[in-house]
Amino acid sequence: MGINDDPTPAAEELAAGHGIKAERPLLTPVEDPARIKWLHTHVMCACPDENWSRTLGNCPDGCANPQKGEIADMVYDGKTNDQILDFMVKKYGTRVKSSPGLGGVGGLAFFLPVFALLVMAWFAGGLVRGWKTQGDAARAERRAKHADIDPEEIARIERDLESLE
Amino acid sequence: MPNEFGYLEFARSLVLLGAGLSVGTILSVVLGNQLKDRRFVLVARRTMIGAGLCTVAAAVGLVFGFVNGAYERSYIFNYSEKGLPLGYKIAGLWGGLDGSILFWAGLIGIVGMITAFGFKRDQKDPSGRRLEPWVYLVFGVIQLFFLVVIAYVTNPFEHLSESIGLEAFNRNFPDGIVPDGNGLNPLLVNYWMLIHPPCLYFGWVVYTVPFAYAIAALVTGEQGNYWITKIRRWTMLGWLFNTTGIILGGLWAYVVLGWGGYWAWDPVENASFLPWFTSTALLHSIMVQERRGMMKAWNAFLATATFVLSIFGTYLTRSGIVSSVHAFGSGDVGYWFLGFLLFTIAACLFLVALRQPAMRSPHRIESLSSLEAMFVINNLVLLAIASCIIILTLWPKISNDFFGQALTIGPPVYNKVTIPFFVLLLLITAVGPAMGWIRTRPKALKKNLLLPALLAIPVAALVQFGAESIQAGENGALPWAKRLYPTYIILYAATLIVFSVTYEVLRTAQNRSRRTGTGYFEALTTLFLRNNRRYGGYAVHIGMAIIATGIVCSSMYRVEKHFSLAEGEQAKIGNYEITLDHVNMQPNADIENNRVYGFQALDLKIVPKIGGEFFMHPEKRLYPKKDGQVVTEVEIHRGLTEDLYVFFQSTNEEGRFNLVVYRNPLINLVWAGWITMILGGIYAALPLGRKRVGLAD
Repeated sequence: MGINDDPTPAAEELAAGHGIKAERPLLTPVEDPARIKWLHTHVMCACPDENWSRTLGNCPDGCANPQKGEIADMVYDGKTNDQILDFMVKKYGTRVKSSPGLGGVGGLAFFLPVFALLVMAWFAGGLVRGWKTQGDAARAERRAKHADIDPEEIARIERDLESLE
Repeated sequence: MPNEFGYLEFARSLVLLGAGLSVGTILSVVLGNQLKDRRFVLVARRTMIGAGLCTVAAAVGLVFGFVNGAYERSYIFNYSEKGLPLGYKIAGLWGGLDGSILFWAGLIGIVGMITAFGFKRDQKDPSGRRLEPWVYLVFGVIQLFFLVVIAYVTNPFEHLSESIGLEAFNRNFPDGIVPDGNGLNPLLVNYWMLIHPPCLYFGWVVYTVPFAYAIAALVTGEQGNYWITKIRRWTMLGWLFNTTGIILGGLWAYVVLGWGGYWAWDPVENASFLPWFTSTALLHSIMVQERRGMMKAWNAFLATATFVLSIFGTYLTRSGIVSSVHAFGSGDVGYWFLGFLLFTIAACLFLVALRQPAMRSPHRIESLSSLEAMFVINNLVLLAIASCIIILTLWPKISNDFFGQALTIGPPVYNKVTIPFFVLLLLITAVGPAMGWIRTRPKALKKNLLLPALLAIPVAALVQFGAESIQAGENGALPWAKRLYPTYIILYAATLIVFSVTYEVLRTAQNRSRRTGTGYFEALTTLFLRNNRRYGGYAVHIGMAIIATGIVCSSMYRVEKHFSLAEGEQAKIGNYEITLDHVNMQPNADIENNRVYGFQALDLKIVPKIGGEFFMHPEKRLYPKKDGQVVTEVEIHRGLTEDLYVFFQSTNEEGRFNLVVYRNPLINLVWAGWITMILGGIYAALPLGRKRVGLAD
C-alpha cells in the first residue's frame, strides 16, 4: 500500500474477482515428459516479477503458463529442442536461456571455472611436490638418526603397526 | 513524533555512542601498542564491551518499537502491522534491509563481548595476551563499519516524516498518529522466518571471531597453537549455524515457493553457501595444524576468506547487482559493503603475504597417501567449488558490463560445472577414514577400502532401483547416461562414505577390544567417548552422504503433473487418486486480524492405492495491504518414501482450478541428513575427548 492510498477499494476490486487471474490450463503432454522437463530447466521464466531469476521448472505461477504452453505446443508440433530455444530467444531475448552454450562470452562461464581449477591444481601440485621433497629429506634424516636400531627390531615394529592398521 | 525523545530516539543515539566507543577501542589498541602499556588493552576491552552493549540495546529498542507498534518509524511501518502475531513482529528486526544490518551488528556485539570475556578468563596465557589487543582492533573496525552504515545509510530508526517529507507526513497523518503499518511481506510470514535468518546471520557473525584471531596471529606472528584451538571451536559453532541456516532456507523455499524444490542456485542461496565451503575447509585443515604444525598461514587465509565471503554475500544480496528471487533491494549500502570488502581483502592478502614465510612449519607432507595430503586435496576441492560458484554468480553482471551481452546463468550451468567437484569431494570423504597420518601403506589402504568399495556397488544400485520404483517411470524413463552419471556415481560415492566409516569404526573397536581385553561394545563406547571429535566428524560425513542421496533421488526422479479440475472431478498421479471435493471461497472475509482479505481453499480428497484416504487444502490468500498480493499456500503430504506436493496455481476461464502436483521421492533424506550432520557436529564440538595437539610426528 502506498501511503496515499486507501486499501479498501483496490482490495474489493480484487476480491470480487477472487483476487486471482484466470489462466489457461496447462496439461502436461504425456508424449515426452522427460523432454518437457529438460526444456523447462533450460528456459528461464519470463514473468515480469521474476526478473530472470527462475527457470520455468522452478516457476509454478500461472503467469508462466503461456510460455509453458508454447513449449508444449512446439514439442507437439515436432520441433527440436534447438528450434524451441531459438524461438524463445527470438521472442524473449538472450536472457531466456538458462545455459548460454559453449560459444562466446557465455561459454567462458563454463571454461573459467575449469581454468581456475587447473591453476589451483598446478599450484597445489607444486606445493605438494615441494612438501614431499622436503618430507622425503626429513624421512631420510630421521632414518639416518635411528640407523643404530636393530633391523629386526624395526621389522617387528612394522609388523605390529600393520596388525594395528 | 520526530522531535520527541522517546526510547527509539534513545536507541538511535546508542548507535552513535557505540560507534564512538568502537573508535575508542581502535585508538586504545593503537596507543597501547605504541606506548607498550597493557592498561590500554584493558580500556579497549571495556570500550568493546560497551560498544557491544550499545548495539544490542539499540536492536532491543527497535524490537520494542515493533512490539509497541511505533508505526511512525519508516522501517517499522514498512515491515509490520497490528494484526501480526508477536513472533513476526519481533522478526521484523531482520525482515528488511535496515533492520537486518542492525541485527547483524547486535550479534557482532554479543559475539565480541563473549570473546572479550574469554580473554579476561585467559589473561594469564602469554599467547592470549599477545593476541588480545589485535582481536579487539579487528572487532572495533568491524563494529565501527556496521554502526556507521546504520547511522548514516540504513537507519532503521528513521521517522516517516524524514523518509517521505514532513509535508506528506502531515497530509497523510494530520494528527501525527500512524495507526497501522504496511505489514510484512506475506511470503515472510512463515515460521521458518523466525529461525532461518537468525541462524544464518549468527553463523556468519560467529565467523568474525576466527577472522579476528587469524588477523591477530598474522600481525603478531604467533606460532603457538593457542589461536588455532580457539578458532576451531568458533568455526565449528559458526559452521553448525551456517549449515542449519542453509538447510532451513531450503526447507523454507520448499514449503513456500511452490515449485516443489529447495535449491535453485539463486545468487542469494549461493551467497549463504560460499562461507560454508571455506569454513568446512578450515575445520579440516585446522586438524593438520593441530597434529602436525603445518598449514598455519593457510588456516589464517581460510579464516579470513570465510569472513570475507560472508561480507561478499551481504554485498551480493544488498547491492542489487544480481537478479534474485530473494534480493533485499538495492541502494547505496552496496557500495559501502564493496568498499569494506576491498579494504578487508587488501589488508588480509598483505598480512598473509608478509607473514607466510615466518609461519612455515618444520614438518612436511611425507606421502600423498596420508591424511594430511587428503585434507589438502579436500581443501582445494572445496575452494574450487566456491570459486566456480563465485564466477558463475557474477558472470551475468560481468558479461553485461564488460562484453555488452545480456545472459543468464541458470541451474544447468551450475550443475554441469560443480557436480564433478561434488563427486570428487564425496570420494575424498569416503577415502579419508582409511588413511592415517604421515604415511599409509598401500597394503593397509587396500585392506581398509576394498570391502566397503565392493559392498557399495550393489547397495548404491539398490538405492537407485528403489528411487526408480517410487517414480515408477511416470515422468518418462531417465536416459541410461544420466542414470549412470550423475545419479549412480553420486549414490555410489555416498554409499561408500557410509560403508568406509562403518568399517573403520568396527575395525578400530575390534582392535581395541583385542588389545585391551575388554568387550566389543565397551571398546566401542570408549572409542566414541574418548575421541568424540573423530566420531562426531564421521557422523557429519554420514549426514552429508544421506543429504547427497536425498538430493539425487528427489531431483532426478521427481514427478511433476499439471491438472485442471472442476468440483467433483478426479485426476491420478502415481499411486494417488486426487478428487477436488469442495471449493471453499471467502472473497470478502477479513481473517487473521484483517491481514488477509479473502481466500480460496481447495479441499482435495487423496486416495492412495494402499488405502487410508486423507485431505489436502492448498490455498490462495489475498493481502490487500501489499498491493493486493495473492499468495499461494502450498500443501505437502509428507511420507517416508515420498512427498506429495500440491500447488494451487490459478483458476481458468471455465471456472476450473489449475493445480501443479509433484511427487518428490526420498526428499526427506535431505532433512534427515541435515539432522545427522548437526548432531554429529555438536558431538564433535563437545569438550569430551583428549587434546590431540601435536601427537603425530
